[in-house]
Amino acid sequence: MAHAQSEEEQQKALMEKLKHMSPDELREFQKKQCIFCQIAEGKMQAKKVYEDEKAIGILDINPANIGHILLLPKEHHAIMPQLPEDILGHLGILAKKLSHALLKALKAGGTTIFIANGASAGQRAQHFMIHIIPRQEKDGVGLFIPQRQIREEDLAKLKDVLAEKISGGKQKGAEKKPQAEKKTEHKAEKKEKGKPARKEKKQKAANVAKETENKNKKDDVSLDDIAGLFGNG
Amino acid sequence: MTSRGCSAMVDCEFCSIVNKELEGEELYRDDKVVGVLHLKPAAPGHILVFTAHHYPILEQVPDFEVGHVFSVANKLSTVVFETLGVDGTNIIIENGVAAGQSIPHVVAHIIPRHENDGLKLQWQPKKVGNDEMDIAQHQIKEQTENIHPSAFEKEKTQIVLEEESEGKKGEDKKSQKKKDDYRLSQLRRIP
Repeated sequence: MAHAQSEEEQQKALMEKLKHMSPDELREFQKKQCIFCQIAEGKMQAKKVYEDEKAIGILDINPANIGHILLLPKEHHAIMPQLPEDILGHLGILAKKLSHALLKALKAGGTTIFIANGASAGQRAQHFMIHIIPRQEKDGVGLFIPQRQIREEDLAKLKDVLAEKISGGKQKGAEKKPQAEKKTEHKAEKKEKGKPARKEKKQKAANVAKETENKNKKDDVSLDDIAGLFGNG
Repeated sequence: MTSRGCSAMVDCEFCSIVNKELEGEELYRDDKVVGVLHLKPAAPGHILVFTAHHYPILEQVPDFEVGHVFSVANKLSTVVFETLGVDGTNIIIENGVAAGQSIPHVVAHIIPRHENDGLKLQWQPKKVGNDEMDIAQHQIKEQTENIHPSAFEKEKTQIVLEEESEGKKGEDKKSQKKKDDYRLSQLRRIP
């Protein structure tokens, strides 16, 4: 009993300590507790498949399929919105590159790129990560995104609420402002150019697509084969 | 087989939204990506973020555009958090038919989550032996050796202007264009 109480007290003291920590101290504390930080620092063993200055890719020890990669930033960030823009962009590009590596190395038929934000979305660790899961048809992994019906008025309501926030509204959002500006700029541009621009765009897009194809031909794994599997494409 | 990449554009649902031929419940648009509400959502507030240009699979998207897809997906996911009072979000890209992708145009799903929402977006871990893991690690490592961050495709800041008349002339130029830097070609499309 006395022991339990002291544990409780310890917990209390810890909570109190956490409360008074500066953000930097708090991050340092979290880092010490985080196994993925220890893996990133090389203090804990893991099956590494990729590493650079900012990121590390390891095999998941509880994989959905063999070759399941966890891609993590080396810096400790608990959730996605905390990630600096450059790190997120870097991880996104690496997700593509590692996906490509899985297609080539394991002759995967496709990949699932999966991010969970929050425990209810399946986030298990307090260290942001991107899952890259090699897939084969009928591999039993599941991860099926259901399509449900929604009433039109509900959809319209959601659109209003979200669009208002996205366009910035009056509130904070130094971050979001550039987005909003871009959007209006773009609209103005559209209006000016009108139809001819659209036509040109289509043609140019077609050219780009051709070049994408040519580039892909050089690849030893045929992306065209994977891209061409769509039933009605 | 190989021509599918561009011919699909004609009837691609997402391209039609990009071109404004089809009306979507649009939330976000810039020169590289468009974000709309899913009309058949897994959960209310389910958002689709797709590339403005038609690429069937992720591997075909230029690096800087991939980075941008993740960046916008993160921003929209944050907005979902802030406005819909959800407990979490999933961001999922089904890459290839084997992963469940049904439309040949790269798209990221942002799915709002609540405790006990009944969505089965989770997997059962597979039991894999240590030897098998080692082999997979070795095979994958061989392929990741040539990933160099310094070689990631970056968006060029200067605009490359090119005279291009409509119709046949464009066709003639195709062969010449092949020699051009692939990354520069990305800029030629009008946002």
